[in-house]
Amino acid sequence: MFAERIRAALVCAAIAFIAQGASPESGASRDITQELGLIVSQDADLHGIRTDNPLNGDNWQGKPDWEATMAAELDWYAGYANRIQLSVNGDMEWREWSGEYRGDGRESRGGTDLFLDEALICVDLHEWGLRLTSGKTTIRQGPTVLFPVVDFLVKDTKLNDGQNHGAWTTGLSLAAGHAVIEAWISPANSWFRDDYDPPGADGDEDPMVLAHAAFESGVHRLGALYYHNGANSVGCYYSGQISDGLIPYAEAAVSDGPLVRPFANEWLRSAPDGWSLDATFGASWAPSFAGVTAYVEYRYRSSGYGDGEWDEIRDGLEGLMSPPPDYPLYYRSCGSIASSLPYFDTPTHSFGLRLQNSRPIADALDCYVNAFFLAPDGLYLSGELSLSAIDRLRVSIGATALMSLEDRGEVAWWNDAWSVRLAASWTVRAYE
Amino acid sequence: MMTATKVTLAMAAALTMFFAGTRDLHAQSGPDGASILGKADAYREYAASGFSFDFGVNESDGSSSLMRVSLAEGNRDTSLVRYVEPKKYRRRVVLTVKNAFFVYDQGMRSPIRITPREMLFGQASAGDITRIAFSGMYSIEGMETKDGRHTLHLKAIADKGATYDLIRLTVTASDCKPVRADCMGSGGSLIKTIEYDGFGVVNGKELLTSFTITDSASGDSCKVALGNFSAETYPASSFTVEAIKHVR
Repeated sequence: MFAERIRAALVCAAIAFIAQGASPESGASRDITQELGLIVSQDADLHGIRTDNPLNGDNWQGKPDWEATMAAELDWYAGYANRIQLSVNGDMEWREWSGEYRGDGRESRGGTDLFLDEALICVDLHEWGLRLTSGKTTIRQGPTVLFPVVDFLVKDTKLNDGQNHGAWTTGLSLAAGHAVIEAWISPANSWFRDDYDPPGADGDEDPMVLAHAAFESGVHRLGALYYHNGANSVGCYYSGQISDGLIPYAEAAVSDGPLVRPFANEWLRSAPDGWSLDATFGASWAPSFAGVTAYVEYRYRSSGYGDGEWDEIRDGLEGLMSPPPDYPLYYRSCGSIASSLPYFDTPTHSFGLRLQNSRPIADALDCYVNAFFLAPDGLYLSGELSLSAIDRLRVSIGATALMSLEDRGEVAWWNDAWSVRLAASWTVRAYE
Repeated sequence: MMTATKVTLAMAAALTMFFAGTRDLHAQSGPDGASILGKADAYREYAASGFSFDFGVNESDGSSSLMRVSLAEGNRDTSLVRYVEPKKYRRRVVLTVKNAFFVYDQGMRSPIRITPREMLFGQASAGDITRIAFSGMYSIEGMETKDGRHTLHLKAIADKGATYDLIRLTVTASDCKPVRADCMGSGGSLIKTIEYDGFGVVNGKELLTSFTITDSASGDSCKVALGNFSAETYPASSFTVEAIKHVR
């Protein structure tokens, strides 16, 4: 009874405090603002799958020849007096695909998939530089663009072979001058950890803790992180600026477990225990003579996979495929394992180059090209050209190609695979 | 001999006093560069604390854009730029901390850092949008007065977030109203010219309301309109890289 009264008093005090903060004397806005956005998009992907690939005979990995996705993304934001903000973002997807790999299910149509990307409430106590945040969101730190290493929580909340839909968590941040300190926690055995898949398959048995501090001095920005999720990891990052067009940056992380995301099926290959180190060095450059920005990055992963690891995985899968090949259950389980492979995230040495226009071409066109070298012999190339018209419509065409120069390592699994994507999206937003 | 010496000393003292007095007199009546620069800056200072205003750009090809610029309270080198038009950029927010720029846009997981060269709208650079004062960022290297105008030669102070290396700023002698700025690189090559051509009275204070930026290499120009000044700004906790994805 006494506790109930205390709780009620605290709620009343909080409401009174918020209302006081919204008064004109405080300098904060009294406005209630709302924003509603809808993006409707349709894209079609055509895949080129090599069925004569020795690692993908008869396309047992189960990639469709084409797939089409229609999506509707809705976001809603409401803010009160720069004090409380509520944001919700989710999308509905309808998927169709066609492929030969299942014989009886050549053409398939999925049901409606619902994804909640964000459901977040933020309360600002800006008199003290404090912000309390709770709900589902995506948290990522670090300046890298191609090969991040301190995005601990993003890596752990990645769905297998799917999008990242954030994590349920609660955070407190303190901003003072040019410094920020923040801490995020997700308790063990929470109701709200559906997309949360920590390494080691401990499920909800371990609480998640992410602490982050960042400091700015002139053009220099430094950050440090601690992350606990079964394993303990620490990381740091830096970004600076040389002249008007060059930004050097770096990230490093050390963990008492493997930093490479493990397979869902650990019996196939269990990651070695012990300390591991990831480090990325990079720079972005916007030359004065062209409207282009170039990103160049190199990443080292001490727990990364080389030839030996991929041979081990291939042997394991070949063993699984030895039962009668017309038995669909085996194909399905093979496909399931294949879809859990941590694609293009495993090399010990990765080099990346990205070129993009730094401002719209003719006020309507944007483009980018990515070129990665994934040791020991993989090349990953992708590019996209998009046209923005009448301020709401965006139409794009993109292509991806994978080449393994010596049929070794990760990219050998997808050697000579390619895809072409045609996409269109229509954006509507309303404000009050 | 003694008398002659005393007379000589007295004359020397008198002359010293005369010249010293003249110098003081000159210092009192002549133009003071720092004061002139402060007065010129005041035409963009809507309020001494944090404030916000619209920054509209109209380009010569007819395209236009609109941004809302909010300056942090008590921290002139930190600002937020929220894009309003065109609608395709409506979720884009840029945080400026001195000369470092961080941008957040629709679909991004977190803000990314961009170079000053990447943040351009028309001929307006990041500094043109977010920098409202020359004082503190530039030292005065020289000054000339001619035809009722002062011309100040400004040089960027290291690590103060200045946009250009050198600026030749012309202001009217009568009220220090900025007329023109020739913005140059470190070698003295002209990068762009800014002509301050519109002033208006807002809440009893005369403020700069429009200027024209001309790129010296291409000759392209754009017209910038400032307006909708307000004493409201975001709380200090919003002016961080971590917070800008929540700024609306």
